[in-house]
Amino acid sequence: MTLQMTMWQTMKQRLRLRFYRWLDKRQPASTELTLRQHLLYVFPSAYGAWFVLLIILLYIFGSNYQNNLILLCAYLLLSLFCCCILAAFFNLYRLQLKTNPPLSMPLHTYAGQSLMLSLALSHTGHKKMLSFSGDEFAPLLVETLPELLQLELYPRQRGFYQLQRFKLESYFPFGLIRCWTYIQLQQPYWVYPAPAEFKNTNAAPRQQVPDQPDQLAPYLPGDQASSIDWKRLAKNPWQPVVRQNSESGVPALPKTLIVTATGKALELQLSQFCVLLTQYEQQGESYSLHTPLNTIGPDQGQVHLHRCLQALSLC
Amino acid sequence: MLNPAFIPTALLVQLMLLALLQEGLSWWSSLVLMGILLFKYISFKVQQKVRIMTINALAVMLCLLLLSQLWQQDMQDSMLQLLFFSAALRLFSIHSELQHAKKLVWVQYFLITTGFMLNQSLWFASVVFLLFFCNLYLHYLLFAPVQQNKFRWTDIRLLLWVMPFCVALFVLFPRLPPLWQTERQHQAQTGLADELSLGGLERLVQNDSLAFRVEFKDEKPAQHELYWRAKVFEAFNGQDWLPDLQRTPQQPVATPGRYQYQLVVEPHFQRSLFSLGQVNQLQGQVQTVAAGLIESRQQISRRFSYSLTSNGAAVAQQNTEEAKRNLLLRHSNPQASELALQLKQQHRTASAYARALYQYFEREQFSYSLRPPVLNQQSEVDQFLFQHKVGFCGHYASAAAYLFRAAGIPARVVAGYQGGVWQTQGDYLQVLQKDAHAWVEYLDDGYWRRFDATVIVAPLRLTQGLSDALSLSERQFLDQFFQRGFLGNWLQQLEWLDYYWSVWVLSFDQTEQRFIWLYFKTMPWLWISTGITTSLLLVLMIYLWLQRSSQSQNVLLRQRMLKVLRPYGEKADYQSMESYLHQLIQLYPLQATKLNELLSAYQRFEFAEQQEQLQQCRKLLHQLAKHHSAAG
Repeated sequence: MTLQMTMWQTMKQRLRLRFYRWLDKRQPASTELTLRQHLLYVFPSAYGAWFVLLIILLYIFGSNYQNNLILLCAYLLLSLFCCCILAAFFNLYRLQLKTNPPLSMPLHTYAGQSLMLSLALSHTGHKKMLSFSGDEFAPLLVETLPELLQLELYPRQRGFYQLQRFKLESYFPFGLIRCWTYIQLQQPYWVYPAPAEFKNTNAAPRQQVPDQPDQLAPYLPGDQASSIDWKRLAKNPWQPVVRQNSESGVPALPKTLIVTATGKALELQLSQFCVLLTQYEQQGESYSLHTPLNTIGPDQGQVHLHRCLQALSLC
Repeated sequence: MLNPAFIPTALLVQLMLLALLQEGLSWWSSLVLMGILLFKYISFKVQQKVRIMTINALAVMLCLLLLSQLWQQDMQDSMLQLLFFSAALRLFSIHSELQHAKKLVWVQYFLITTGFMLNQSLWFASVVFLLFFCNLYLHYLLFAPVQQNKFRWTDIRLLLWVMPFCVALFVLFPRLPPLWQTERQHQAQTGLADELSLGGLERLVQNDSLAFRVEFKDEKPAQHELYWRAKVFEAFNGQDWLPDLQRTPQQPVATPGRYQYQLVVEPHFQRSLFSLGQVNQLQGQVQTVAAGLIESRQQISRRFSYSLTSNGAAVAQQNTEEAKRNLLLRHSNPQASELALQLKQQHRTASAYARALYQYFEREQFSYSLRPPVLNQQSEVDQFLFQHKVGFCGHYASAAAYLFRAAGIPARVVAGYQGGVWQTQGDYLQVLQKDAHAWVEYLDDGYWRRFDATVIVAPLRLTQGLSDALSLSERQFLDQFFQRGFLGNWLQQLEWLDYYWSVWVLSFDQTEQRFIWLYFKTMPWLWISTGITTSLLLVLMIYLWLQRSSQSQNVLLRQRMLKVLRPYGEKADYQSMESYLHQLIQLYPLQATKLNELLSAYQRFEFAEQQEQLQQCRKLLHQLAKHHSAAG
């Protein structure tokens, strides 16, 4: 029994894979997609099948009693059914979907958090009751289409993902005909390691640089007011000097984070690094990251931060 | 989630259905349904959910009740009740579940359509169709956005598309003959009864509902010739005349008759149909039976239409058996028999005897009355002929038939309708139940001649109708049955609409469908198809031309420039037309002058809006294109 079940399941799985491969050829992933004839499938729903049964019953009933009005009703329902095929088709036809990622940074979230994915829809006129469903997000029924659709993706483990093929279907109007399509949108997204709790920051492997005796230097515009040696200023107000301590004095050493842990500790370390990286970026420091896979040189800025976080999530 | 408008609308629909289908529901089932709907209304108001157990228990109880009633009821009515119960209980169970609501809509489609089994008149049908569309609306609500409870224009457009398609299906879709016999056993017959007592038609005369309607094609017979034969009674037991027909069908004469007419018969749950005299040709689901009568193949439980042609001539004698059968007298009325013998001695031939009988009725001052004295003696014919001398057409017919038989002339009583009212708007004849009549046919020279004593006793009955033939008091007595309200009178005015409804819609059948197909086949298809194709092409061309002219000249010019200059080098997306041309000028020094001219012409046209530069641009482009192809 179980063997049969597994065989059946593998069979199903293989068929599905085959189907998806076929779909990939038919509709390769793209950032923008217009639903055309070759992507839309139309077939009567279960209720539609019951409806056809109703029509057949009425037809037999009407012919048997030679009752033209019953026949007329049967024909009315039949023509409604036929027109619904077209109406259901046009409810999806020419709908345009476009991924709408943020411009400044790659689409990302942290492990354990959901990701809001927004899709821009156009040609939404008169289109109603669309339902989106897929493996990555909870099914969503949209009654009237907004310009910008938000899909909430389930939380996932860290890594780099590609938005899966998802299903878009509608039963509108009258629920007799189901029109659906499987859509693959080109939308990669990153799931960075979950940031660790903040109290661990002090335990970060940061090299403590011993304080060096103060050095004095002439004041230059842009120096911080707090570092001005006020005593000397009082003596000689025409030549202000600033006190320089070692950190700001010598060009600061880039912070270096090295991923060393493995196994369970790795996840912990990654989470800590995730916090640190963002912290450094906020403090405007330059930092570098070494992972077993690659090394990202000392730099700073949003692009650099995201490169580092991406490297973390791929560890 | 269910649309909040769903349950109230469904309640309203079922309430209207309950009122509409009263005819097919027994009193207890209407009561139960009313109760269910009321409870549903209350539970909807207080937002109380009904437990599914309660509903199931109720359903079982109702099914048992229905089963117990099954033997007393017609199958069809039971089905109607079952459907209605299931619909009402389904509605009762719906709270906010889409699944139940879907099933409800399905059942209601069926239930509403069943309404057409009861009545098919225009008024009834329009209400049923209204309900049908209400149900369609309910169906729409199921799958529409929850907050929306109106049809949008796109949905109405969908329905508009449905209509022509539906009509085409109705007219052209092949029809099946009835698959199995569907006789209604428990349905009371209306119209003429299967036996005729001496004063038997009085009750029918008080009924002014419609019996049938006739439309004559060319020639119309005179009013006093309109004897619609429906039933022939050949056996007399002293009180009642009974049918004794041998079921040997009489073949119709194949030659077309003078009168061509189409009848639309109201349902009377019998098989007998109406015809004028000897039938020549018939069309529709009808067949001839003995004594020149025609009959439907099925019990008539809906409006039924058929066409006949006839000359209105007397029906021919079928066989000698028929003559013998119509001479039998099992009961004796001594006085009448004596009278018959006397008259027969004086008048040898059958026609002379008939004339003598007419004279007898005239001479003896017989009179016509709807309320004749009751015949209570053993020999009813004698009592009528020699004692009361007052009677109705039934009396005269049976008395005359007795007198013929007693004189040795085969005779039988025929029941049917006489006359009718011509409708001015519709130009058709309307025959009501009160036009019911009975007369005698006697055999003369192989033909059954008509003898109707009413001609003598109440001649106005034939030419003016029944009420003119009666005395004032009797007319008042009759009118009390025909009181109609204002609405009734108004509807009476529109009766002709209902007639054409039945002629065009209700009685549309295979025969007419075949005619339409034949007509289609004979149409000049070559011409029609060429006409359609050319007009389609024309429309396409006009459409393209309109599209083209709607685009501005500037866009067209730019398109043309891009096309011509492509061989010289592609224009990049970020480039403006000017920078593109500058680039080309640098790339092709040989063409520099022309390209320069083109650039300035283009700029003048585009920005200074000098229309004449357009020609210049085109000319230059042409030269450039030619030059490139020559160079290539």
